[in-house]
Amino acid sequence: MMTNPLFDIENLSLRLGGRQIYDGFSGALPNGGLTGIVGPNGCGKSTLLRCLAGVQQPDSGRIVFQGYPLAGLAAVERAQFMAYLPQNPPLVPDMSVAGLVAKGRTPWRKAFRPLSGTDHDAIESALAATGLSDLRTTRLSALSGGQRQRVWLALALAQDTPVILLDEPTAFLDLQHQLSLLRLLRQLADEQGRSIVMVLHELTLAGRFCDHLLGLRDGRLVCAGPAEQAITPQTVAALYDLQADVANDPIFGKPVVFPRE
Amino acid sequence: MRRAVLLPAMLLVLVWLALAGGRNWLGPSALVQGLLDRQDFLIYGLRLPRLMIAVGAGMALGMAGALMQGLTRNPLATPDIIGLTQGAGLGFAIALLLDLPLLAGAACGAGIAMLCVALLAQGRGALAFVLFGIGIGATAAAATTVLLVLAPDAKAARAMIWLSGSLARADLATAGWVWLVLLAGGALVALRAHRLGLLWLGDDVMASLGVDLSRMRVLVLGLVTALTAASTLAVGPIGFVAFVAAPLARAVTGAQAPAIWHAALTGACLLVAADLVARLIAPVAVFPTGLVMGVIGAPYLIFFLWRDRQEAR
Repeated sequence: MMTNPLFDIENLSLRLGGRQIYDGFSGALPNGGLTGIVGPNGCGKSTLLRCLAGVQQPDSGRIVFQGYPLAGLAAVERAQFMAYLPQNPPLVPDMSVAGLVAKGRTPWRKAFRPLSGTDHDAIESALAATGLSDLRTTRLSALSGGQRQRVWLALALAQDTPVILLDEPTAFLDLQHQLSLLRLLRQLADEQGRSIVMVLHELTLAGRFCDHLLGLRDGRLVCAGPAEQAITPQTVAALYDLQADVANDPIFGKPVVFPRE
Repeated sequence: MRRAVLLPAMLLVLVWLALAGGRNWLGPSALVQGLLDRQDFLIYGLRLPRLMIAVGAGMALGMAGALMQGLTRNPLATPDIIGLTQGAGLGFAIALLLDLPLLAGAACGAGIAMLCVALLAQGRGALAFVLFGIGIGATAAAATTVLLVLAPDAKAARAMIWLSGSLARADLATAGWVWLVLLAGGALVALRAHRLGLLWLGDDVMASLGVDLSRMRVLVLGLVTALTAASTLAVGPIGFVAFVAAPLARAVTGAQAPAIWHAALTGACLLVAADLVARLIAPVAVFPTGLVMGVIGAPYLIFFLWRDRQEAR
């Protein structure tokens, strides 16, 4: 059993669109560091993240967030503890980069007050961390897909929460940008002590960057633990029905999957 | 910042034109003299009430449009297109025939239409909102016509003028109602300004930024219903103001969506301008302001649909 987990998920059940997503799902996510949720398409990774973010209510069961039942937190309190970025950020009407990032401050703002000094600091450091400082006045329509992805991440960072939940933040990015984004998240976890939970597709990248992995299949927990424990030929077979070898990366010493089919 | 003064300045110019212009043009000195003399019939009896209603109803419609478009993330989902205006019209017609309070009739009509659309479209997405709204609006409009055919002539005539969207019967009491609802709505919008700034970002992002979604929906739908009912009571079911105001405001000032206040000012400008045009076209006859808005708005709707396919929002 994990001591002081970030999230403790107890007996979660959820039916969505006529499909039973979870039937008594239980598990725990560790506090601090990078936690990756992996698994095949439709295994319930994204829905799990939505439940953790409080955006989706489970039918039964409960989620305990740092000792408090998540359902008991008001929407604003929850937003001061955790930021959540959905898989496909919505298309929004054209506005400036800084304008969108500033909206991340909403849970902290008081009625009738303009942005405070703290707000401006949080926006600035979010822009700096995502390398968008020079693009602050640029309009969203003038950005590339990768840059737009970083703007949404900056919005989540500006929310200034100890916990950040990201749904496939590397989707639609080329390899170079995937790496720079994951390095940035690694840095946020190491230097600012934030807990980051993300859904990832790419097992090798997940193994290299995450401290802890959860493998899901058909709404059940298949494996959990550090990359070395969570990625083995047995777990890959159980997750993806795939014969694969797993060997350690010569440079990073992390497991890499070699499919044998 | 320079663009921020554009809309208020434009509204001021239009206000001046609306007070000075008409069958008898007043020069600056005559206008000031008229404003100082509370007995002046031309200013206080005719033009000022009409102007107050045009500004109040225009602002209310602009706000309602911006709120509704933001909540549904759909530029088509404005009170005039999703049937609220028609619902208010039906409520007004029933109240007129039964000698009930007209504001209550319009408010109930808009409220019931909103409820029907919201219940029918629940969980089916923004497009369903628009489609069911068009259906509800057409139903309400047809029912209104049936009522008017059956109604006694005098009442039917009064209702017909109102239904075509005319400001000719403007009086200060009606203007007072519109402004009361507008001020109350405006105060709520100001109080919740930061939350409302998240409209257009969609349910998931709003929820993750601490918005209680069900409370937000009740707030926005309630505001839209009240603002639509008040403005419809005053000027009749004038279309397109709510639909055009917010996108136009954003295009002119570059303001960030949802641009609720910009939309309010733009709505006021549009309605004052349309009313001025109506008065100048037919100084003696009762020329419906709604017709002028239709002439401006309908081509814009076509332009909008044509352009919308080309650019991603």
